Amino acid sequence: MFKYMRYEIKGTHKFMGLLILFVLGASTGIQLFALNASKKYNDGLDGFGKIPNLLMPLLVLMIFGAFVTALFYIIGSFRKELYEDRGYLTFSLPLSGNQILGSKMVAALMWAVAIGLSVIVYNALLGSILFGFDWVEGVKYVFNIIPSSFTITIGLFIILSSVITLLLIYFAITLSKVSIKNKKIGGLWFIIFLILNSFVNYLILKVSGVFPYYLDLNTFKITGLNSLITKSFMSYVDMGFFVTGNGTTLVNIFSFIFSILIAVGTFLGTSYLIERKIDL
Amino acid sequence: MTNIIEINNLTKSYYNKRALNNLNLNIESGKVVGILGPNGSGKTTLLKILAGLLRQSKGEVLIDGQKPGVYTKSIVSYLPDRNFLYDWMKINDAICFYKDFFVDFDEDKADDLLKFMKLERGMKIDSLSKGMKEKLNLTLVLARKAKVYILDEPIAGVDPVARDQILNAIINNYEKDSSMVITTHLVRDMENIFDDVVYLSEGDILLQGNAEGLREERQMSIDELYKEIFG
Amino acid sequence: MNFDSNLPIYIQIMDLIKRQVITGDLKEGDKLPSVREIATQLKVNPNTIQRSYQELERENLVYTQRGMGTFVTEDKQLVKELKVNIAKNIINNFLDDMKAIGYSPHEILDLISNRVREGK
Repeated sequence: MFKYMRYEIKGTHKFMGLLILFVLGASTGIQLFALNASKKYNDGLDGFGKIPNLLMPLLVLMIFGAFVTALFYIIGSFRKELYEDRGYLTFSLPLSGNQILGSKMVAALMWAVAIGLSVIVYNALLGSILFGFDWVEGVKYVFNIIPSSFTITIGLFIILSSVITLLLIYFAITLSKVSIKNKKIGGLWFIIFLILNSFVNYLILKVSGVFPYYLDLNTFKITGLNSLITKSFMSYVDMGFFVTGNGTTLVNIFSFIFSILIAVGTFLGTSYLIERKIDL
Repeated sequence: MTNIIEINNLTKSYYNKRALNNLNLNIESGKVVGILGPNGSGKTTLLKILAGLLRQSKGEVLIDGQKPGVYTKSIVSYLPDRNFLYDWMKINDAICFYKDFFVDFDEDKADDLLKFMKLERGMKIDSLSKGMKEKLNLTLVLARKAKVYILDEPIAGVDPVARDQILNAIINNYEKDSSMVITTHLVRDMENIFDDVVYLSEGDILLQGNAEGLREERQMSIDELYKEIFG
Repeated sequence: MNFDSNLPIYIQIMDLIKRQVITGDLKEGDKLPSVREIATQLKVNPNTIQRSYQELERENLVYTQRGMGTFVTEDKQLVKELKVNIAKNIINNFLDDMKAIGYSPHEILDLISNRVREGK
């Protein structure tokens, strides 16, 4: 499986490398632009000390753009596997569906991490040169404004939901290939994905409603929602598998487990289809 | 003789069209079998099922006693009728790729074949001509010491010189204890390398038998017989 | 090499080797090319060549030494007989053809003796 993963990375590294280079170039542009703007208009400085307000939203927008581009590329290369000649090689290798899909998932997630990390590290580095951005201060700042249980939950939520999203996309593409062999209906997978995605989100929400048992990541105690509501009058945000409000974040145990089951189920389902049902 | 491939009542249909119609065929180990038929006769469909890229609608296929899957893919060396290598590869990458995934891949043999085909490891795949690609694909497929070779139209669309090279490579690298299944509609060029032939038309086997036996019995060559059947 | 279409290829290859033996291209005790060499040269399935060699061996025209290869028989008598047999075959075929186009044995004999007397 690691061999196949290596070739997955080999096959995509040119595009991803260029994307990262492009994003780093754009970061430089944005930072220089923000530096100029802050000098010209004496733009206010936010919590980091000397960073112009303008910088963060622009950077976030760019990272988001980079992720979307990478995602489209990954989706495109998976579709090529099913619809183009290269599939004749991939699917005649003595590999199980699990191995093929697993390699693709790991490679895709690895690229996501690589893009994210390189952007953050590079911008922090450049920021420290241009604005005198203080690393230690920055990290402290992040952990101060956000309670750590919140950070962990958000992290978990992002990882789990990206994995599920990617898996659902793979599943939808594979299913549309298995059910309709005609290439002409190119957008079918997207419709399948939208339906599946809303269905899965609905289920996760439903599960958390039926089983309102939450784990408080600060105290590691199981509580109900009441504790959150009675503790304060502040409204809380219900995201399905976690709830946050008033500085406390609670993870719904059942919908968390359910999400993992969904991920595992989608993975196994997709690799079953890949191994047993695909007609090239 | 043991059957390395057993095909029982194999049917493959697409919606309303039948590509293979209740096929029965056994292939003995050590034999070179030609699947002959015009375009659309179901040759490629049959090979794709053997290679594990296509599922049958009905019936059963056993290769070395197993249904097509991870194991059979490890003992079947498959040459598709198209250029299947990843477009970012150089020849060297393709060699490493095969070495990584197929334990029966013999790198020395691959180098010999490359030399014979006048190809070099540094060449980029997407800049090769059609004939060179065909030769490279065959190099990779034949450099495996597989139990079963499945070659889909190995000499279609290449010039006569390349055709000769490819035929020689097939004959030279054929191993006594492995089997080959080869489809072609260029019967005259290939008929002498077949032990057995199968005439396939619109998913049905019209005739099958030992090539020498058919020549003797029908008093004509396999190619003449092909023309009689399909002409 | 172009093969005659209506004869099994292994028989045609046997004939080819037999001819080489009686014309002296292959001498008594000479080693035959390996199966694979001939297979590549003629672009014929090695199994077919193998069969030709086996049949030749059955007719005692060649013998195999384990690990050494296949050799032409050293039995001169046998080679002579082979030559006679092939000549007989040629004559038989010829006679059949002549009969088929309506010649009597006498007429055939006349034709042949005239032809031979005229020389080439």
